[in-house]
Amino acid sequence: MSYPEEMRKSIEKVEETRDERLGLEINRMSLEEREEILKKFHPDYRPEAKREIGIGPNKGDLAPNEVVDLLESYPIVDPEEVDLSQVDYDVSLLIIGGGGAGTVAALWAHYSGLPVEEILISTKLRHGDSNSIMAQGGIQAADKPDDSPVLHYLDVMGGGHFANKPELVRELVLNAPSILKWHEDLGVMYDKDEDGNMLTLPGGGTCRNRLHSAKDYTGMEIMRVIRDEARNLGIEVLEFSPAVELLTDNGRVTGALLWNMETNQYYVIRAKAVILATGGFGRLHIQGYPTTNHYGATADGLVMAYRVGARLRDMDSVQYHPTGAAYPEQIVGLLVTEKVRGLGAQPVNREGEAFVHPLEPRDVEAAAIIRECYERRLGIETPTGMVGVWLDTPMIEEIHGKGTIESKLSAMYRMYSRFGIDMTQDPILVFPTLHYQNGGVEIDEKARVLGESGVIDGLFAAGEVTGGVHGKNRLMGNSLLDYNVFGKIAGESAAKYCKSNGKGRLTLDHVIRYMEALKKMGVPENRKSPLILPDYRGKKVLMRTLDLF
Amino acid sequence: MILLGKYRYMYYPGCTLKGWAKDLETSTLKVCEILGIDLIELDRWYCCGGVFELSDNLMRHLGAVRSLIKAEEKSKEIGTGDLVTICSMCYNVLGRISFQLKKEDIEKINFFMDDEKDYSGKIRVKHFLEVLKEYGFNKIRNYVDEQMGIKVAPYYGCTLLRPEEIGIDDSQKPRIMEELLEAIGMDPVSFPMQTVCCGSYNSARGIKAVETLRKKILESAKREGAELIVTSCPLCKYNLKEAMYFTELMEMALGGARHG
Amino acid sequence: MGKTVRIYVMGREYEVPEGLTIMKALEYVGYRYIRGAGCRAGFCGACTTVYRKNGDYKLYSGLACQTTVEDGMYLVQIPFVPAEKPKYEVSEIKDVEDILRVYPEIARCLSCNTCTKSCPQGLETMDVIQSILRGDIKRAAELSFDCIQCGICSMRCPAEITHYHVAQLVRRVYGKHYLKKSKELERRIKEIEEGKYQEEIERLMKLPREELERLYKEIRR
Repeated sequence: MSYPEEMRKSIEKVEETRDERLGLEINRMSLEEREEILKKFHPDYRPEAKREIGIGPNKGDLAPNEVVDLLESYPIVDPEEVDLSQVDYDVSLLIIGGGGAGTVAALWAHYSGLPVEEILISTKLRHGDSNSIMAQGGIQAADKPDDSPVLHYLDVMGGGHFANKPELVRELVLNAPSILKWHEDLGVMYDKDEDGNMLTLPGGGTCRNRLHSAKDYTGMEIMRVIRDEARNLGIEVLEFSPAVELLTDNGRVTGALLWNMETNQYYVIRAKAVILATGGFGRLHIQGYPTTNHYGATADGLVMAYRVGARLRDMDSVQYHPTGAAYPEQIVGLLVTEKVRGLGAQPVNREGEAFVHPLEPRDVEAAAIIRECYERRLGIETPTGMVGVWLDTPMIEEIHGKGTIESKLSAMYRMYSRFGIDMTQDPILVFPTLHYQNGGVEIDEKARVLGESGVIDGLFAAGEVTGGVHGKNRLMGNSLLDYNVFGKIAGESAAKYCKSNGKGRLTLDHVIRYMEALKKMGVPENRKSPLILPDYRGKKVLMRTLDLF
Repeated sequence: MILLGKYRYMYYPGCTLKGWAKDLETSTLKVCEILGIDLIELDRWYCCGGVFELSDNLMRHLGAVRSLIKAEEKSKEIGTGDLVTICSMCYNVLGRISFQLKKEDIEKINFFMDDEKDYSGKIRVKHFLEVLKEYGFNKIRNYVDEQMGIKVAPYYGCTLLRPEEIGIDDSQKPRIMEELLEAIGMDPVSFPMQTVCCGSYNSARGIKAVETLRKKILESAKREGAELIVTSCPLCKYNLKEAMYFTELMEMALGGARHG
Repeated sequence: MGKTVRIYVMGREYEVPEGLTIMKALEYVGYRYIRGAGCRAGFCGACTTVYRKNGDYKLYSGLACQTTVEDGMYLVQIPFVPAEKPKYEVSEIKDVEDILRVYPEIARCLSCNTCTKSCPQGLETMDVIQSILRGDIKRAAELSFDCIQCGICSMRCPAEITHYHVAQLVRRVYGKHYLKKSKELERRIKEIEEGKYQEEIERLMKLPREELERLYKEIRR
């Protein structure tokens, strides 16, 4: 499936201007220009896409309609129908989510003194099925002599439009180098020079080359190593067993209700502490966008925590990755890692003109691509009606030499090859895609979840489910770092908490109260959450489905 | 195309030479460097199947066949069909397989290999001792400064000589190592037990017979006045405990250190 | 509906639009995944599918999310690969002898190459195992680096090797014992432990937004 004739014509123009563009440095936008383009073109600034939350601690705050729908929903489990008196798993620490954050938290809880038998991970799909494993480009850490955690701090704040929670950013940047050291010791194969120092690349919005990678499988390499370590230690993981509700004792979180997706049985878990590591919300397809996220990214953690009384923050901003695949149809929305731009590929319009610096912060880069397609109408249309811009990948080999794409971007190269496109020869078509939940559950620097009146006892959170670290926009390479740093902190904090606290009663009182509030609001009773998984079944089939057993 | 000298061969190292028998490889390569022999390692090669040595099931010898296929590919690049091994066991397995692969077997294997390249049966497997003989023992003499005159007993074991079809010399009264030793200024001593099996892989299973064989072989060599035993087989060396590789002795005799 | 192709899901015939991935085709005809779907982007190995095609004796394998349906495909998805994962301490495993103690069965490799032929990533899986056997840890680690651990190699190996677990160990051994440690990283960690950046960051934390913006611009000059 190579490019059709119409697209080929535009590629010829891209080829014609390539030599000239290679020598040209495109200006970066000023902060003012950034503001302006965001307001006009970023999907977050479309007022009809959001509404005020009508219930709970964030009542009155704006969030995407799809999120508000889930928050303003009845539980999928009727509190009257479950028997909480029979406990199926009795542990010190329950970690909900078996992606990066959950696995790191389990390891550090163990390093902090919790025996492995006292730790349980529950996860919706398999251990490791997560956005963590899909991250390609890299992980940030200020370890180079010309860099410093102070510069990293400023980049994170600026990228996040200064809306970040400062103490979380401090933890993020100061813990970064020691996280990489930990990975080194576990045997993560980072790209290194002959002396063992890390090879680094620039990322969007970084003022130094700070992006560390393992080819373009960075997330996979880290995830499979930490998962292997968890398996070596014998930490138990319940797969295909998502949590559907937290359990509480007078405001304190004391366990959770899990659901075996294959047998429909529920499990009651009693724990001294619970770490929420459920990841993000890409599969809600905010504003109908395709997504880079894994199958289970449905915001379940947000919903469960909100019912307990957790405060959310920065939920009004959503990250659209500037470069999702826009052609061919089979891979629309899948991630084209920022490393492609880091290595020198420029976004180019139909006429072969570069129109934006390749490494603006993600929201700015995305807005510029949207402007090119829909205001200036210089995008390229595919046979199925998608519109996108070129990402001129052959430039990479012009700059770094032949073979660079296959060795440094083997995942990308493989993906395009599977569908008949040789990205070393031809540019690839891209358009923004839903990528990351910038905001989320608010935590403090000890990864404790915050409610309206301070810390919620017994509940910790880490990773994409949380908000505050990235403000209104996350920079590339900071999500892998985020889940590692805060996974670690959550594991340590929870282990400490377990040492000085006993177990509590198991109730769904908070859910019953939440249901009463929903009733007062007049929310239709057939609206249920958490979502657990999206439903992609064909419409024709769904219209003729019988639920017989 | 790589620029090569007159004496050029494809080289199959085998796993052992990359592992605990590294000395055999390094000394051989050193000797080759001194004599001007080019050994070019195959880009891809596989375990010869030494662990399945005596099986006549072709499916157990796919590694050997695959290495022969890789050698055929490589031979086009460097213009020789000669594939050299140093380890006696690898020689024996590769040699036997290439010899035994009759037409119908080749077809059967190629059919199984399916979408991979076919083997056409053109590779000649050689042991390094044969390479040295081709090179000329007399010519090697020119590289020897000093007649050391050490009484050296060459131990052949079985894998270089049997089965006879692939033996590099007479299976009862071999001379090739003696001739080489003489050429490098040693005083070779043949001995009755020099072609007896060392016990092979039985040592890995801790079978006592290996120890008995070891004693008999060593005593037999000593009775003939040997001061030193040499072999070309990592497994024989391991079982005998008191042997060195003939290539190590060559390196010494050819003044390896001086040339290096 | 435009052009369609006929596929067979566990034997049952369905007609689907051409150009869909196997994963989307199965959803189109009414399947809702619990197992068999993960990242949906070719990174997690959850959607391994084996199939045959009309009039072709070969058994193919691929990732459902990365393979386009073809007319006459007989499909089945592999929900789970049973494979023993031994426990080990990576700091104690350094060479081939150590690896053979954990995975002795790799010595049973027959060089049949079935693993390589079945790898949906197109990796030289057999060469990974063969490289380990000859002690070439670096080569084994590099050849296996793009492994997504779908496990299809291990389902098809006549020697019952679990390549993807073996390769995981080899990569960790290589990363831990063979790649040099970063000195720059150690230096920076020491500086942080000594509190070198603490004060400056604490100061920044208290600055008003305008002041931070000024600094943010400054470091970009």
